[in-house]
Amino acid sequence: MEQDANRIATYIRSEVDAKRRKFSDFLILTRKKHKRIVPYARALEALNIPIEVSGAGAFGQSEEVEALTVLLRALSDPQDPLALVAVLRGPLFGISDPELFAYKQCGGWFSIFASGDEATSADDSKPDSSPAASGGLAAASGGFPSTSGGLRLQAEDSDLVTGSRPAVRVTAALTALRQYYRWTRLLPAAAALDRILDHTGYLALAATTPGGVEAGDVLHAVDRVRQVVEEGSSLAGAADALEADSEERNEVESLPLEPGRTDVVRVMNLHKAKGLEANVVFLADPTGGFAPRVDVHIERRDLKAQGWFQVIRKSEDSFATTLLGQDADWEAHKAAELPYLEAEQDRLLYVAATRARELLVVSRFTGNQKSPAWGVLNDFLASAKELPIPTSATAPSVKALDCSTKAQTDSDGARLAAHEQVEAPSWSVTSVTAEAHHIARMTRAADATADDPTKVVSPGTPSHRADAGMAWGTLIHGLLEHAMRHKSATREDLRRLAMWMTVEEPRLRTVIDEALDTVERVGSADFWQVARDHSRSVESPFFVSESGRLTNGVIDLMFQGDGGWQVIDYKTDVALANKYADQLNAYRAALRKVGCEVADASVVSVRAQK
Amino acid sequence: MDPFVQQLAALCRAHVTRSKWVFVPTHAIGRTLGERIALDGTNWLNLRFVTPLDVALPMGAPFLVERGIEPSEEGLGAALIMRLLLDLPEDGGYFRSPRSRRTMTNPRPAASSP
Repeated sequence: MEQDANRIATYIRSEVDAKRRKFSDFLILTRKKHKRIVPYARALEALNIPIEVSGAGAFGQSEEVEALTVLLRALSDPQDPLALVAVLRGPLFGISDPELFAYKQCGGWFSIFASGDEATSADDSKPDSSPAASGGLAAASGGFPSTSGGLRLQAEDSDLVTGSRPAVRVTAALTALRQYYRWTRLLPAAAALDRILDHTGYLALAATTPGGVEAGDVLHAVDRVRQVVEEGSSLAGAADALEADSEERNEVESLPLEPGRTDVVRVMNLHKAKGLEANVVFLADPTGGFAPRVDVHIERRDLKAQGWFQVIRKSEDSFATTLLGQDADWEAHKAAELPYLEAEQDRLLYVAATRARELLVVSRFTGNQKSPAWGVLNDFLASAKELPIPTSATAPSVKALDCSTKAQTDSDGARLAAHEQVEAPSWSVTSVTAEAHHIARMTRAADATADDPTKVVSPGTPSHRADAGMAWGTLIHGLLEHAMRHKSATREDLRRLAMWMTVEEPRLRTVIDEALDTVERVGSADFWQVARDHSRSVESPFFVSESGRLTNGVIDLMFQGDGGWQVIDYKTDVALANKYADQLNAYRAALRKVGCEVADASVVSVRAQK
Repeated sequence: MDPFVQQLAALCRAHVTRSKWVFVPTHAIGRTLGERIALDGTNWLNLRFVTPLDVALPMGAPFLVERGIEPSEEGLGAALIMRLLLDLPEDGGYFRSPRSRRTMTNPRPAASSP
């Protein structure tokens, strides 16, 4: 397989270097997923060929995702020593059983809170950023992939601190876990997980795998956690979801680390290739075939379905299985199922053979093998020409990254500038009434009238009048809207409506009769009759834009008079004069923008209507 | 532009003053749609984003209030449902008891108690 991978990589490199092809012209397919793609990714990367790996394994089979799941489990229940020990033994900390035993022998106990109150730093986000102030010491991180040195220990745990190195390592790991636990309590789960991945360097480590496949899985897992928690679930729920994904082994595929790149060689297993094409397709990994295996046979007759399967026990350390039981006619059922599986295999091979636009390259293995990867295709390759492959190809040298202080400073500056640009709003929204109030406040610095619209009841009036303020205005507007919409609305209809509209403000119910009188007074005005006889609209919302500034509002009443549209705005407060001139002008401008010519715009004081 | 937003914008341009009703699951979505249309260059008038509740309430609520039936306080819903469920008769009620529910391990419901 390595030889095949090297030859393919050499061919691609030489074709691209000779400018005969681009990287994106190539697609490499394997039959199996698990561990069959990695050698190809490695060979391509050795020649500095950009790749995009997908379907290298099922998401749930990822060891990195499994490690994250175990970590979430431990953080969700810090009292669970089994989950904690699983994390300590896992790849995040890599502590061996003898080390754990030694820690226990030193008097340690397996709990995130084991070492008592840690000597926390002032900045929670940097738990390992500075040495302990007094008595503490910096532990060697050992298997723990700390990004900036060891973790601080507390002086109180002197037995452990001064004890054996294994005990120190366990204590350091527990200190880190305690900090992670705090993050999960202070931050949204996905943000905490992002920080944990950053702090442990686990994501960076996963990105070093061929094609960054494992890092893609880790990011996928973080997204999954974000999704589950956003739906209201807990950390334990997120761990459950990841575990459930791992059980659906073949359903959730791995994702590429950087999806969407264009000029890359695509490497994937055959199942992912349906619908894809490329100019040159390699059917690689000639020894990675497998014979169809019957696991289950289902018969469907009429509305009934009946199935048969073998009961087997899988070995933990080999592929061997032990048969525990099977149907007496299992061989017959197996024989009945096999043609279906073989037909499915043929369909897959058809997919494989039809992905190439210009050149199909089938890797062959001339030695004996039970299950050649590309099966029946081999029978048709006798007359095919062998692909000429150069003996070697040279990977272009990669320019070392500039990590100088100046480069880092420039990079930080560019990042800050980009953030500032993104944070500056590209557009804003305001409302006509908000603008009118703003202008009114500017011109009348402290005009605390009895009609403060934020109050339901005005205490400034001799009778503590309820007929003032925003709630009163809302009631009157609602009643007027209903009365204008429904010509046949009676006083009783309006009273019923008023009772409902004052459910939240029962104090207004004492003045409902006054509100109904007000509506009737407005209803007898001249403009009301004109509006009723013409095309009209009540409580009409609008939204207009000018140079990235959006203005919205609601026009109480507009009707088409003889000379154009007439705009009416009801006011329930006492003062009138010219204080609403700007608001009316804003309405005119807005209507002009949508294409309506306004003949007149006026304010109607519903108190003054008599 | 999103095809739906595009259609709404075209509707606003074709029928400037007519009332246009758009049913939305939440007012926030309606507001976002309205902003999107304006930001994409179509100033609009009389486009009303309403939720089903906006339409249903004025139709039914005034008559309920008139009969003395007022809205329950927010948060009482769960307790109210619990009260209603507890008031259901145990025998012959609307819901089957958990014992009689079919499960993988209990494909046949238990016989009803005498």
